[in-house]
Amino acid sequence: MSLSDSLPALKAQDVSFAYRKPVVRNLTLALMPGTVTGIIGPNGSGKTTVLRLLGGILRPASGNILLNGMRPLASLPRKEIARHIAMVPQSTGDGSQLTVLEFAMLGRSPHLSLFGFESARDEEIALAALEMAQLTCYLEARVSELSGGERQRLLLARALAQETKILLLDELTANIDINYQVELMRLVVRLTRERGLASLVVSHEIHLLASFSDRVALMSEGSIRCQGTVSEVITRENLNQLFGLDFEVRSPAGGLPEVMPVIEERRQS
Amino acid sequence: MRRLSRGRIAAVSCSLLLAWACTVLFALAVGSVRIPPERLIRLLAHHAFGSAAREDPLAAILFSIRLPRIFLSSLVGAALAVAGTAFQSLLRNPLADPFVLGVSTGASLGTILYSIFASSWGSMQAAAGLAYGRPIAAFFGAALLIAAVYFVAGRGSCSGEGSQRLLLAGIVLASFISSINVVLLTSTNQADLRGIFYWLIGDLSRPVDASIYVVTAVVLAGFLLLYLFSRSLNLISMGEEDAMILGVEVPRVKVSVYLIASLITGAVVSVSGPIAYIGLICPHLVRMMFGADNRILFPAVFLFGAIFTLLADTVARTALAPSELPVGVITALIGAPLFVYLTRRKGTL
Repeated sequence: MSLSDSLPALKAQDVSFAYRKPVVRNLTLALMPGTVTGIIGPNGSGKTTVLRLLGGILRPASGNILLNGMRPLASLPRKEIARHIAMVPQSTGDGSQLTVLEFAMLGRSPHLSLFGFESARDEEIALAALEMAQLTCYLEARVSELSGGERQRLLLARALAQETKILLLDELTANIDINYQVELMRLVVRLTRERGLASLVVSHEIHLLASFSDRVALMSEGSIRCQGTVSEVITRENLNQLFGLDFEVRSPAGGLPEVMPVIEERRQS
Repeated sequence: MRRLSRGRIAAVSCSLLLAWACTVLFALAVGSVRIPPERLIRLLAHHAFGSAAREDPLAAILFSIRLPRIFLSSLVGAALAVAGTAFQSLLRNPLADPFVLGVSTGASLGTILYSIFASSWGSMQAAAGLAYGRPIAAFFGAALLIAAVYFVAGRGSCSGEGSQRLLLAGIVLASFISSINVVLLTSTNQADLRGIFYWLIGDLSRPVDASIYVVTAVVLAGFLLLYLFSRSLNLISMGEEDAMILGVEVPRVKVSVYLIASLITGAVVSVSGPIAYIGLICPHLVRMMFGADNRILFPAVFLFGAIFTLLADTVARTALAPSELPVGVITALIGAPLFVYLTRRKGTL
């Protein structure tokens, strides 16, 4: 195990952030290489803000975010950050007139010099990323012609084309059929293991994160309530406190917890 | 799909350069005095090889009147088209251009105020300072107006949907400043009302003075600097957060591009007055021809803007010969219907 594997790829130390009122409070979180971390929380709990802070899009009001355990993100130029951290936002912005390949090629931007043009190698990397996201059949299609799920996969392809060691995914599996949700999460886990990535997945899908994450953090009202391994964190009590709803959490011997919300109406009928 | 390459940019630029050269030859030949092609070529050859036939009366028309004006119209057109492209990419709004945003009108105010103060200092100092002072004053006018537009439009108006407010503020402030310009001009220089009227619409018929060197340097330097930001602008035109994710220093690029686009607009407005539609129409037409990538769009629109304005000015000086129209009238007569046509074509804007 090398030294870089033992240091967190990205670490938030006591980070706080506020718009008009506090949105994130005293966030401390470490993303380790080769590990998928999941953040679960209700709407408005500050999950996306955490992601934007970790991606350097927002500057913390207090606290530090350190790259590779030592370099403060705030001191790095954006291009340097984009060579280390790739983010998958919730939507594709205004790139709907581009073709799928052109959109994926945007991921190469941080690697190009001021006068540089995308090379054949950049195109190869973008094509490989599109293949992983199962979009090679749409290379010439316009982004506007894709379904919501396909756009989500395209955003993942663009992030993969950035070839970074840190991957931040905001609601990656929203708007996607269950089979693609599983496929995408499998892909994220496989790449995380093979390439030693530090991946962070923010999602509402508790069962998906419980199945595919190595570590999980539960978030509400801007704070992380608890974090640890899936078995430690995904418990009936924790989820009940987080969502105000009863959950059935089954933990098969040696396996990961299976989560199901308990809905009173169904139980009574 | 073709990946954008330097070769494609060079091919497009060379084709447009050739088209511009043909337009220049055409514009040199036509006018209230028509110069036959063989005579034109002979005169140009004599001039090029240093054996100008000075006694030829056509040589004076060609080299003292038409050539400087052709150069001026090309420069003004190229600058306004490039500034329009920059504003449209930056604000992610197809309606943004220096005229709509009020930048041109602000530059006019700067130019007029400078002329008033310069004439009160005395003709000697005014003549000496004209070359640098007028474009600089125009730039400050342009920069102050864009600051006022931002202030009026309020927070969150810098991009995307919020930019509608910015355009609205630009239109309102431009009409206000235009009225001030008319008041200032008519109260100080009643002898040349026709000249004032023409300049306010955009006019290239005034004699070219020493300030053209400063204006040329500013436009060329501004164009090169904007070209350096072309890929960043590609990403910003998709959304500011996306651009940041992909490594663009968005606030720095935005401020730089605003300043450079205002500077080149100010520089050319100081010599031509505010000409409408060039910054609006040229980027759209070029985008339809060569795509939306700013790396090819900037050089192409620079040359296309020169061709468009040169043709418009040629029409302006020949349509009612021996009378001349201000070029702003022709750009509006061509630009307005063309813009309506483009907006009605699905998916072009």
